Amino acid sequence: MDSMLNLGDVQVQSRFMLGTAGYPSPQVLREAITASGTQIVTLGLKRQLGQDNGFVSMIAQSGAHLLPNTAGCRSAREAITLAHMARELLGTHWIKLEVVGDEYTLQPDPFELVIAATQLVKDGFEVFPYCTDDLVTCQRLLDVGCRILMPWGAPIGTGQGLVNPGALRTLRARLPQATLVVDAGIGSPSDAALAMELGFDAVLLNSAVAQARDPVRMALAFAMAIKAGRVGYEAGLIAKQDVAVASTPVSGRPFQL
Amino acid sequence: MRINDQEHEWREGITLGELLDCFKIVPEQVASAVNGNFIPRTQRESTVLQADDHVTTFQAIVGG
Repeated sequence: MDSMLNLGDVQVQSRFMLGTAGYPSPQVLREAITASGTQIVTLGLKRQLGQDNGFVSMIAQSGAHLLPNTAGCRSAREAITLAHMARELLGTHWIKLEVVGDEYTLQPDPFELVIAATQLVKDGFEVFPYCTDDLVTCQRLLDVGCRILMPWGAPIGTGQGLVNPGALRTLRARLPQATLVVDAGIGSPSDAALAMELGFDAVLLNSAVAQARDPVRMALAFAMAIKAGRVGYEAGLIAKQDVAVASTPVSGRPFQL
Repeated sequence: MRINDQEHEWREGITLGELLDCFKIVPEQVASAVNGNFIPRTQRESTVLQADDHVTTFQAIVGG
C-alpha cells in the first residue's frame, strides 16, 4: 500500500505535483492531469482584466488541490501581495512562494524568500517556498514556520535533471522533519525517480510533460517513475560498493580445469 | 488614474468597486490592488481612488 504524503493539514496519495502551463491545448492538459494521477496542480496569476475563460473551473473539475504561485515576483512585498490575491481568488491558503533573484538563472532570492515566508506564515498561509538546495536557506525557511520546502533540481525549464544530487541528499539527511519536494529542472522520468530514491517526498514539474511530443503519455511515465522511486526508497536501496561482490553462492570454481 | 498600466478617466469620489463595474467584471473574477497594496473584495466599495492611483487586477492563469 502506498504511503501518504503529508502537506501540512492535508494528506494526499499522489506524490506527483503537476504544472499547468505550456500544453498544446486545454484538452491535452486535462488528459495529462488525469494520466498523471496528480492531486495537486499549480497555477499562476496574471495582471489582466478580462472575462472568465473557464480555466479555473476546468482545473477544479479535476478534483486536484490548487497550488497558486507567485511567479514573476522580484521582492518579498510583491510576493506577499500576490499571495493574498491568490488566496482571495482561489480560496486556498496554499501558496507556492517564488521570488526570483537573478534574471539569467531565475534563481530564487533567499533573503526576500525568508522575509516573505515569515510574513505569509503569520498571515495563515501554508507556504511552499521554491528555493535552491542551499542547506542554510532551507533551515531558515523552516525556522520561520515553513513545513514544506521545494528546492530546485536545476534552473526552471532547463530539463537538466538533478544537477547536484549530493546537496539534495544532504538536505534529506539534515532536515528529516521537513516535507521536501524537488521542483524545477526535471527533464526525464528517471530524474524524478532519482529524486524519490533520494528520499524526497514528492516531485513538482511542468515543462517535461507539457513540452513532450505526447504530454499525456509522458505524464503517465512520470507517474510510474515517481511511484517506483518512492517504493524503492521505502524498500531500502543497497549501499554502493567499491569492489564486486558475487551474488551467486557457488563453491569456488566448478571444475578446476 | 491608471488601471493595469492603461490610463483611465478619474472622477472625484470614484471607488474601486465602481471602477471595476465600469469594466463589467464579475467581482469574484479578479483580485485587486491599489498602488501595490492588496485590497480585499470586501473593501472595494469603501476604497476611494485618487487621481494618481494605480489600480492592478489579477486573474488566475496557467502556471508551473
